[in-house]
Amino acid sequence: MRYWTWPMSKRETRARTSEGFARPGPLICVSGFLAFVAFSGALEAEPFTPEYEHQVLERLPASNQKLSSELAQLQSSLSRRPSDLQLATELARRYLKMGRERADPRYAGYAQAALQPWWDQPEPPTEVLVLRAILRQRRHAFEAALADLNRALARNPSHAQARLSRASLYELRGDYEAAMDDCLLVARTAPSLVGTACQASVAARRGRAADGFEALQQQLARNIAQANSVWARTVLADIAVQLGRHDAERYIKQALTRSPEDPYLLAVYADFLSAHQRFDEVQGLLANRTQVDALLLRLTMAEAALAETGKQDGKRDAARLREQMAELAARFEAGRRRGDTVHLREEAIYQLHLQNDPNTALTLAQQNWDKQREPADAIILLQASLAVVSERTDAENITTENTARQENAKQCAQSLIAWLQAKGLEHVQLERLVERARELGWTKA
Amino acid sequence: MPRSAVGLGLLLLCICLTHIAQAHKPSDSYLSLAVDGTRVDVQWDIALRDLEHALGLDGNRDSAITWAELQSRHAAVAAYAQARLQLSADGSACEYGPSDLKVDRHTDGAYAVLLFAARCPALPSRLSVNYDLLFQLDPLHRGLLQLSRDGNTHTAVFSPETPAQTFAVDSQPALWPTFQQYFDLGVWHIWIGFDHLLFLAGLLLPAVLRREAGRWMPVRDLRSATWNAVALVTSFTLAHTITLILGALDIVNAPTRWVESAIAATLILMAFNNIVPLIKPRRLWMLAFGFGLIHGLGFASVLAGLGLPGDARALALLAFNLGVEGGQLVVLCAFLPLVYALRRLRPYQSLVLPAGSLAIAIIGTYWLLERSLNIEMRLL
Repeated sequence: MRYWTWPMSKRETRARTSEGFARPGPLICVSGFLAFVAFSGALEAEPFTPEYEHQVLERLPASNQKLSSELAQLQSSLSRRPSDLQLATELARRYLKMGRERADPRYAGYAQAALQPWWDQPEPPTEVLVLRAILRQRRHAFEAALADLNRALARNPSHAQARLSRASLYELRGDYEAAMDDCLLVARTAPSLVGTACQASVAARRGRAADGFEALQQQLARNIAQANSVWARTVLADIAVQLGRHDAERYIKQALTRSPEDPYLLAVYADFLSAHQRFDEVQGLLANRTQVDALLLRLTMAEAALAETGKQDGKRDAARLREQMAELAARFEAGRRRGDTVHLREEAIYQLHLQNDPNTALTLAQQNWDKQREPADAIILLQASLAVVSERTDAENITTENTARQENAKQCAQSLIAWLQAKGLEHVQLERLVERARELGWTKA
Repeated sequence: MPRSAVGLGLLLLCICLTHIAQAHKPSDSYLSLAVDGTRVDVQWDIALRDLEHALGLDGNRDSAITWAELQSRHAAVAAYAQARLQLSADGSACEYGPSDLKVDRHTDGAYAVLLFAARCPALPSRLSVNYDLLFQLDPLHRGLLQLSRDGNTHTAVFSPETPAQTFAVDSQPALWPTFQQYFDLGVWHIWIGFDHLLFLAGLLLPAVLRREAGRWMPVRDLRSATWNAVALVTSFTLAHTITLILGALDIVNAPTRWVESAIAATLILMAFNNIVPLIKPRRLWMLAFGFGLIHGLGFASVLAGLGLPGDARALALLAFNLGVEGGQLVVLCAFLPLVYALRRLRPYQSLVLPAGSLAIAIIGTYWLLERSLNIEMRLL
């Protein structure tokens, strides 16, 4: 903790004595205050005894009675017969669904617990393999998930769920040829909407976004009744955003009406609104949905943007912004303490846009890029590289270390741009960033 | 557009009234062990959601857990938790006492806090912790441990893959090697600290002279020369010890560039004072003290770069200081007899003192420019 920092600015010269040493008085007051702030920040929350008996400590996730009693029944049956494969996979699937709907990672743990008798086996039953792959993908253990899906498909090449999962995994890792191969095979066996959505999603990343969009749109018009439409509509919305279509909002909303609490869609919508400077709408959208870290992040960014443009009124909003920043920092810290690395992208965004620390952001974005290669991952990586290089360094900081860092950032950006061009990935935001890099002379057209 | 303004205002008001919702995160518990002799104080934060899943806390099934409901399950919670944590000191199990129950909040909601003491049969040098809470129900659960003893903290994570871990609690560092290591570092840094040595040299040049009728005269005897030198070096040493300690403990923090430039400036000022005496020789120790404060910050930044060992900070600091002092002493013992012997020589007073001081001033200026403007002149 630093209690007293030597003054540097010209403002402080008034506080200096004639010999040039600082007058202690005002400095001590300021430093005392700063010390108090720092110290109080360092204090962790203390355990407390609640004041009165009926004080509600925790509200459990709302769920209708039927669903929770069903789950409870399944759980107790399973604890009596833990090796009942059908029971176990049924329960695991239900937990997975719940976890996805609520964006609550605890359910992934419960699902894994249901599969515990088979979890460590190298060759468990196929259903367990597929579920295990999905769970591993959730935790960003992509290599292990891919291995499981390969095994499952080797045994049962017509397993649609496994193939679809593998297609999306390949797509996530930027291996678009393999993803398209799997999508084409899916299209043969699965309902046509599923196949089209899979292909459209991959095509959009290989330079054929407009074609994919049209094909999927037509397919949706033909198959509105299909239950898969939330996912298909999500894909459509994604491609619309990628293309920078003016009516992208319509497609996002169409998907959202079918799944209003879907965190992924909410994040997409928030990003869209922020890109169009509609920050107050982001506030309205996400104000009550801050359980999900990605959404709290976007809300905080919108609030910060509003603060900058001066549209907020003063202390109350500034206090709320500080509270949100502290909460974000606490959440990332909680993840770090348990050794999780599933939020690298969010943390990179947080470090770059909220903490103004491009170097940390770049490191995180690079680590993230090693694992996954969605357009959003490319965006943050390119943003961070550009920020590191255009960081204004004063004389004090021109060291070999800094120059090396900037050179590294530049090379990182160059290889990323080359990758994007090789793959043909189109994305409105990426194109703007590549244009900036071109202006800096980093890349030829 | 007044309507949207009103709408915006209402919206903001609504937002202000909502708080940040609890995070959704995987399951963790926070286990804090404080070793104090044969007693280990345990504070264990377990999420209410997890306890609900494991034991059921919501008695009236209204999807809300109240303090009353938690309290009524205190015994069950304590039994459940304590059965899944084993502490043993050097192989023998530690026994648990009765527990207190409190509540705490983390990012993902409210936690039950169990507070109890564990008594170990012997003074633990190795504490083994076996943790098995919730792994059967949620393999993604993690136990986040913080183990502390005498101010030293270890952290660890318990998972189904690492449910049992052992910690060396009695981690007294070898005292003598630490002392030696930091003493040597202190000596080394004064030896390579040319700016400090030059400062000392410049300070000592006039120590063997005295000012009489506007001219420098040699002091009469060794005693006054030594006394002068000792006074100067002691005040310099005291001053830089103070700021070294303050700086090393991070109580005072000054930018390196400022400190290094200031040190160069002290050289200039001190040398200037030798040539054109502005300060009475008797008061020179004040100059030495004041400038010593700055030099101490320079050492502190060196020490900050090396790092102090967490559990032997005072010792390391003392050793480093003594090393610096020792190094200075060697320089002093070499330099002082030399200047004392030379003091009577005419050239010493008229040439060595002014020329030497001028040289120091020039070097000081060069360093000042180089450090403050961060230019590498590559001359010296």
